[in-house]
Amino acid sequence: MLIAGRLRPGVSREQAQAELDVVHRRFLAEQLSISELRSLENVQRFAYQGRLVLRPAASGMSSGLRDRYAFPLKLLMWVAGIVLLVSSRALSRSSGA
Amino acid sequence: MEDARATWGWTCLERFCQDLRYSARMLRRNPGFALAAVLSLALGIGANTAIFSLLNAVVLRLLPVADPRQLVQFTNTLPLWETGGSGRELYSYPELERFQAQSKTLSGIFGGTRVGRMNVGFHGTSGIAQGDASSDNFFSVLEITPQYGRFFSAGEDRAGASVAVFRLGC
Repeated sequence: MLIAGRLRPGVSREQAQAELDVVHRRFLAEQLSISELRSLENVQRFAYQGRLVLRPAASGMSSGLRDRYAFPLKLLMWVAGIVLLVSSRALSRSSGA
Repeated sequence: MEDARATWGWTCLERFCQDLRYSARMLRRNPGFALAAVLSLALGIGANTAIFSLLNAVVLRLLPVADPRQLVQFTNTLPLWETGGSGRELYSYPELERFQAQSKTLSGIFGGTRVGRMNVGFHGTSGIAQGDASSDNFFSVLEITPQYGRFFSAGEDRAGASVAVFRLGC
């Protein structure tokens, strides 16, 4: 499931992440100790190397859509801006001539 | 006298008006060029506006809730999978309860998951809706108030509780 929360006033994202990562890793270690799959290497790696990371969610929960489209959209914005700039410059030149 | 006029700044405006009249005259004399100029500027501005509105919707706009910058999303990162935001859904309900019980830095933690399409019957009509399930504090952590009725009250995310929230419009 997706989980999100609200920071208390004055608490930084790093502080909250440090606290919750400890809870998360303790939880995973407990799960591993009672899991039937605890001898599998993948499961062990998941339990020992998993880290909790808090991401800012001010513009909404990330479903992967933003990650996928943020960079192409910014690039497109730059390109469109430059095209507009170039065309207006060309226009002003040809009208001056 | 002439210097005073210049420093008071009206000459600037007068010159601008002269330029405007001059350009209008030149454009009228050469309608082909005028058309090309108007078209290319319109296209350029239109493309910029369209792309910006898309960028705004996807990346920039903040959630319409109180203090959206306080909101954080839990993600789970493995060294192997550090590309992008994978591992978003790797949390379980027991772990959510653990976070809620032990966190002191967050004022509220909620969880939710996509349920998918479901049949909805309402006053004799029925239809298909896209449904999500969420913990009982979803709306109270986001600090949203309902337009009609009420949101979930505590304990209504247990088995057997049957409360649904509908969004009006599209």
